[in-house]
Amino acid sequence: MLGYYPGCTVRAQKEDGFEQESLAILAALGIKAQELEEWECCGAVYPMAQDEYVGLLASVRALNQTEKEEKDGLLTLCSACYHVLKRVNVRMKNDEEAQKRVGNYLEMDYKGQTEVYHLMEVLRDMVGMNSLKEAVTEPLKNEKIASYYGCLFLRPQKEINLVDGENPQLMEDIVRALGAEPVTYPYSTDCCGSYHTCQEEGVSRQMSLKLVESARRAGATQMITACPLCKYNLEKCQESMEKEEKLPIHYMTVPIVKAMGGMKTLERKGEAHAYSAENSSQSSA
Amino acid sequence: MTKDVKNQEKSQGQNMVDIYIMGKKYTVPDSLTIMKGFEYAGYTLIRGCGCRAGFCGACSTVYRVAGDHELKVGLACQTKVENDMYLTQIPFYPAHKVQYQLDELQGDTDQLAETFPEITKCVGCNACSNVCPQDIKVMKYIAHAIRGEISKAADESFDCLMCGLCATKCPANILQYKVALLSRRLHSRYLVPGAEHLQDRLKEIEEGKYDAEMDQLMNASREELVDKYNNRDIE
Ligand code: FES
Repeated sequence: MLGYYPGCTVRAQKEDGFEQESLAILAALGIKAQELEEWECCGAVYPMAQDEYVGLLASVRALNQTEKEEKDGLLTLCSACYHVLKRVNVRMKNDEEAQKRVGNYLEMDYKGQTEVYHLMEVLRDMVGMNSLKEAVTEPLKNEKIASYYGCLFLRPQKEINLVDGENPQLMEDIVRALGAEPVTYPYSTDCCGSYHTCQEEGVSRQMSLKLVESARRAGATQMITACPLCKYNLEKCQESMEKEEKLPIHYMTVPIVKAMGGMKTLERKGEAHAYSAENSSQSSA
Repeated sequence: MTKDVKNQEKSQGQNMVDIYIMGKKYTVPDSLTIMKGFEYAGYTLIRGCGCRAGFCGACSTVYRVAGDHELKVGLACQTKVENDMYLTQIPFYPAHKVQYQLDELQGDTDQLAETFPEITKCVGCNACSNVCPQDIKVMKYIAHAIRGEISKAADESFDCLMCGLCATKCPANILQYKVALLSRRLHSRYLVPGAEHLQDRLKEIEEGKYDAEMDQLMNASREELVDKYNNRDIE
């Protein structure tokens, strides 16, 4: 059983369906995840100051809580939460001063034991691409999907270490497993402009537009991401376009749900898994 | 001198302790609450005290006991004096008062953060929960507020007395107890179905069902009122 850290943005924007879809996909594939009993905002930005420890507290508390609840790792969906939790964890593993200061303040002994997982990592390492492929009932034959990673899943490579930061293929592998065609375009690892959108919107608009145009020229019928902010920027930069000109931007869960037969089917499968798990645990007990 | 007082009182069956009010030493019986200790020492409390029963939150007090580095807090009407207790009352905390009209707000996810934008500055230090005399998980309900979970924030903060100690400790200047109050208001105004019996009663009042009884009370003499009070129904 994984611990689950929803993150503020994902939770506050429930109507996007990202959370619901992610959990349904995992449940249907037999992966169990349960929301931590208590968690606070990770801060959304990894604290770079070496001599300030307050920014680490919320993340360490969640990581420690995962261990306390005896979960097999901490799952998160949002790229920002993933980035922050993972890097804080790396720091807690390696920085003795941080261990001491944070540990003293929180009155806990945490040294980076918890593993942090992203949804796509769980699909790769716990489910496996073959099983994902087997679970596809309606292959997305006519879709050409451009995968967009953005910065937070990639950099710094040494700490995040999720995929090859220069030429990641994980989302493309997922797209392939769904029976769709992955689109190759040069900017899948570029920055979308991120928080510039709050102050210098022109900057993020230009950066995002470059990505979208490139994906479109390469023949994409849609772009997928796992980052709420990237998704916002990629949509926002197309704001003034006519509806039919716009390239749809989806969370990566959208094509997965579709290929696996829709939410209803997923929910049914999830329930079946939960049922059989319950029965087997009862018989083994 | 103090020693004499101590011995004298002790002989009358009282154990005496030394407490320090704003730095000045007083000797008081150890059976008193902080609030009664103040009064025993000769203070008249007209601010920073209200219900005297642990409900109104007016009497938050910061103290430290000699030999211990930790600053502690408590409600003066509920916490007993200890020997060598250094005391400070917090009679009034100048909290920023955010004005809003409940009817013009919405029970949606952004409302709390829109009304109190500073909640998103929470750094997760948990000083608020650590200081809360009611043992409320203050940081937890602020986390609910940040992500728009109004009903969860309302539920988690239900026992809040609005003493304001959380806000005095907050490095991000969040007014936790006011956020909590708004969450409970939004919850009951927008997120739970209205109570029918309340509507019925309000209608009855408007229709004048209780006017005669009310007039009778308003015109009653002092003796009648005393009599009514003494013979009231007690559940
Ligand atoms: S006086 Fe009301 S809580 Fe202490």
